[in-house]
Parts: sequence; structure tokens; C-alpha cells
Amino acid sequence: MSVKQIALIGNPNVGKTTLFNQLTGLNQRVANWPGITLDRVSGTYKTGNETLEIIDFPGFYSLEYGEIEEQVVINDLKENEYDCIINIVDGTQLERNLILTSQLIKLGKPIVIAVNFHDLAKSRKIDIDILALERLYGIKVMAINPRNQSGITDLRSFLNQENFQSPNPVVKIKDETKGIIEQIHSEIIPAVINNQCAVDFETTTNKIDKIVLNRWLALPIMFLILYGLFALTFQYVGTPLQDMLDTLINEQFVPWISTAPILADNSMLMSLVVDGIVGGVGTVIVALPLILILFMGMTIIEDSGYMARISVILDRALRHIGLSGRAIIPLISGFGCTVPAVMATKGLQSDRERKMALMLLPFMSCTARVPIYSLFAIVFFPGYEIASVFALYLFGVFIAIIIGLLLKTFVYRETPSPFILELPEYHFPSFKSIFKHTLEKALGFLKKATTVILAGVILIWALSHYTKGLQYTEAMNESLLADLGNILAPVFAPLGFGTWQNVTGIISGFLAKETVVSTFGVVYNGPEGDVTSILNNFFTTRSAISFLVFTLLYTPCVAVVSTTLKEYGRKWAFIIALYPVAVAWIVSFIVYNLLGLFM
Amino acid sequence: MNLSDFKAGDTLTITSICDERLKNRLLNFGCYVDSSVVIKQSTPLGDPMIIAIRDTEIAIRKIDAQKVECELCQ
Repeated sequence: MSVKQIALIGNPNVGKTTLFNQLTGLNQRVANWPGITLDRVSGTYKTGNETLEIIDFPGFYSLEYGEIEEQVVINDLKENEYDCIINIVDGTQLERNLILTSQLIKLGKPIVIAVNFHDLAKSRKIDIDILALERLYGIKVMAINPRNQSGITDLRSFLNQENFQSPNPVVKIKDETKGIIEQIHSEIIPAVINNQCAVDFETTTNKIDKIVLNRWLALPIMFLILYGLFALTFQYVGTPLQDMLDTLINEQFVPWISTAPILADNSMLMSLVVDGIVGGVGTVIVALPLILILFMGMTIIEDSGYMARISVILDRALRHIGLSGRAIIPLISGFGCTVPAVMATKGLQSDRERKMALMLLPFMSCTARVPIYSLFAIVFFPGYEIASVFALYLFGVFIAIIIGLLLKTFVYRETPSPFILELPEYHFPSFKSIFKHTLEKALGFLKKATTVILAGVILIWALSHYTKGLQYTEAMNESLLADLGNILAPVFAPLGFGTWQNVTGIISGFLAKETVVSTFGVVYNGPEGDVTSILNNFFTTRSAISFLVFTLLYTPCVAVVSTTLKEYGRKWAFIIALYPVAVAWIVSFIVYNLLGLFM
Repeated sequence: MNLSDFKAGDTLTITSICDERLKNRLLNFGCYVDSSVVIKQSTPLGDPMIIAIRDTEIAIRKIDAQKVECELCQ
């Protein structure tokens, strides 16, 4: 059995990913291109006893003059022996798309051209002569349409053949890009497009852009669309689904598994399974609805063409911290849950930008931190609960801006490349493609993230349930975690809250931020686990603020670290686990000492 | 006069591009000295601006647009 490797190549926004999803089944593999953080997506399908692997290359315009990231991908294309290249071109913008085609043909590798949006082109009176294009380039050309299977069967049977032929062009393709452009304009296009009546008509896209990019309407419209996305994700659909899953796990699954004889007889095993594994992995599984809804929405915005407009509208606001407008999506998602937000950073367009956004995400306060805020707000700022929580959110954004400026000035200071962004035509997204993309994203998360999370969960469970003598205990104050809290307490003394109880809470917060409150319930031994009435005995207002700032800024949770591991690799997982702790410590130190001047 | 000096609706001819990287990026869209561009519209925050090269619309920042010398096309 052999595997044929097919490279799928085209300009951005020509329906490449839709074609990819039509060709392959539900078995994508996502890895990174060597040395960069860009996704390398491949998928397979079988015919007879042969397997075809399609590699969905990132969209690029030209083999020459690429940015650094594009060069990595282009070198891979030049150096690896792909059995065949599928070059997908946009029939409505043939002249521009053929620049890449001519360059690809010059490589001399087997290639087939798929002309997308052939019907749309026809309806605009652009009549493409497929046979003439075949003859000129000396290769197979076929018309496809994104929303139905037309052409896909032809393409599949073409890819089925034994030996692919190298192109044998009739025209002598020029060497320089400029020569290629002129040749396409004067030789190829006149021979291929029959009725060259360059009609300057207003497309639907122009009409939509007049409204969505209008000086007064653009921001309200964008606000509504983004609000809709986040409201669906974190309020109307994602969160209710999340609550349902949560109830299912805690009220159905936990009681059911607790009746298992092996657990009922053994309180240690019971605690490991119920408190440790189910509790920890449960918090991860319940993040799944958020990922599903957010990615479905994001894919619709991306595929429809609106994402490019968001980028353009917000460019001026976000470029100061080294980000493009589309970074708004991961950043705002971070206020909901950092896990999908980390995944969303992969949709950004340069290595530098992805890393910058990733570094800022921990400071977008996620919803899991709210129980901590509200506990402290009720005790220390009665009457000003909402204002104080809101101030914390703003403070997080403020720190993110500072870090962004620092990163831009000291770490990622190469001169930004010229910002040139194509505004693609609006298209109705293909729902099959969206569905598949979303499902792949969620499954990938489950498969890869769960292992690390499981390890983290078991580690913290073991720390909080075993004593120094490795005896099982249910009293947390005798546990290794409490010992660890004691050892680390001096580190937090300069921040004003260096007691073993607080440190224990902070460590357990790595598991999930909600855990901080429940840990406090245990370690402060409050009546029925509620610490509201006694928190005053352990914190002053000054140390409470310092503690809040620390929890606002330190590492979100083990799920975020493992998602980062999956998307960005080991080095970045370490950075995301540790650097927010350093930032949190420094900022809390400053805040605590500044407050000391007044309090 | 450079690209950023003109108003929406103007059709221009590029006379020079004084930035090598920008020149190459524009070349990828089939745009070089002597090509014509149309100013389409500005954006809500005033920057970037939107231009059309052949049948492709692109957004370009003012700072880059200032490096593209143009004259009005007759």
C-alpha cells in the first residue's frame, strides 16, 4: 500500500480549505511547520488500496518575495517530492491567481489546476476557456465549485492515476515575476478569457463594504457581530451547554461511579477518582462547548470574508501593541476562557503576532476567576462589589498593554513588514466545511490536552491527599500541599499574604481558578466551608488587594498550559506556565508597597 | 504626490515605490510602477486605506502608502 502526497496550493481566500475538506475525511493531522508556529494541516482519503494524503498549504501569493513564514512553506514545497500539486485558482480573479500558477509550472513538478468559482465567474460574464488554459500551460485544468461536488469527482479520478506528468507548457514562461505578470496580461489572459469586456460593475462585495466599512456604521456593526459571537459562546449557547455537561458529570456520572464496588470500599481510590480525575478532567470537558461554539462562529466570520474587515477596522488601535485587528478575537475570548483563546491565536497571521497574543492572554481575566473576586469583594468592598471587580478587569487589560509595549520594544522589535491585506469577496460559508473544521478542533483538543491535564490533576490531588510520610489523609492541613505552602510562604511575604493557607490556595489554583475558593473553605476551616465571615481575620484590605492582583495575573490553569503545549510546543508551555507568575509577583509587590504609602 | 494624498474615486498611475519590501509585496498582487490603482475608500479610524489593484481590493497603511508615488491618470 502506498501513500501519495498531494500539495494543495493557492492564493489566500480562494476556497482552498473548503476544497481540502471536500477531498478528505474526518482524519486531519495538525502539526506545526518546522521551526514556526504555523499550522500544517494534512488529511487523507482512500481509494482502492491507495491512500492519498492532501497537505493544505497556507495561502500565499507568490513563490518569490514571501515573508519569513511563507519562505519556510515554499522551501518545503521546493525541496520535498510531492507526487502532485493541486493549484486552486479563483476564476473571478484569474489574472492575479495565475502569477503563482506560472511560477509553480516553472518548478516543473506534476501539477493540476482547479479553477474555483467557475460559475460565479461565468455569471459575471468572465468566460474562461478551460481547454485553452490546458493547452497553454500543458497541464490538466478542471473547473470546480465550492458548494457542490461538481469537479471533485473529476479531480479525484485525476489524482488516482499512476504516473503524474510534468507540465509541458506551450508558452515559454518568463523568469522574473514582473515578466510573468506582463506575459499573463498580454499573452495568457487574452487567449483564455474570451470576452474581455472589462466591465467596471459594482459587486455585492462593494455594496456590503460601503456599509460595513462606513465611517459611522463600521464600529457599531462590528461591535454587534463580535458581541453576538461572544454572547453565543459564553452566555446563550456555550455556557448553558457547559452547565448541562457539568450537571451530567456531577449529578449522574459521579453518583454512578461512586457505587462501583471497588470505589465504595476504598476511600482513597474514591477520592482519587471523584475529586481528582473526574473533578479535574471534568473541568476540561466542560470547556468543550465553549470551544465548539467559538470556533464555529470564528470560522463563519473567517470564511465569509468579514475577518479581513475586522482586521482593517481595528488595525490602527491594535498596531501600537504589535498586533493586527484580528487579534481582537483571541483577546476578547480570553475574558471567557483562556483555553479556546489560546487555540484562536493560531488563526493570526504571523509567528510574531501569534506569540505576542499568546503572551497577553493570561492577563485577560477569565470567568473562572470571578468566584475569587466576588468572595473578596463581598468581604472587603461591601457596596462596591461590581466596581471593584470591574476595576480588576481593567487592571488586567492595563497590564496587558504594558506587557505588549514592552514586548514590542524589547523582544519583537524587528521593523514590522508592510501591512498589505487583501479584502476578499464575501462568500456564503460552506457549512459542511465549518462543521468539520470545528469538530477537528474540538477532537484535537480532547485527544492531546487531556493527557497533560490528567497528569496535573493527579499531581495536585496527590499533594493535597498525602502526608510527608506518604500516608493518605483527608485533612488538607496535614498534606504535602500544606507543607509546600509553608516552604513557599516566605516568597509571598513581601506581597503581604505569605501564609501557608494562601499559598496552598494559589497552588491549587493551577488546577482551575475556582479551586482557590474551595481550598480556602478547607484550609481556613470556615463554617461549612464558607470563609466569608472569617476572611477578615486573615487579610487586611491592603493584602487582599495584593492577593486579588496576584490571582488576576498568574497562570490561568493547567488546561491552558497543556493547550499551549499542543499548539506551540514545550518551550511555550513552560513560558505560559511560569512567566505570568513572575509578572503577578512583580505587579503585586509594586501594588502592595504603593498601597503601603496610603494605608 | 503619494498614494495617501488622493481621495476616494481617483484613478492613479504609480510612478515609483521607494521601499524594496513594499515593492515586492505589491508585485505579488500584480502591481508595479506604471500599474494603475483606484482609491476605494478610507476606513473608520482613518487608517489604513483601501485601494483596488486590477480586480483585487487591498488595505494598505498610510505609512506604506506614503512610499508609493502616484499621479492622476488621465
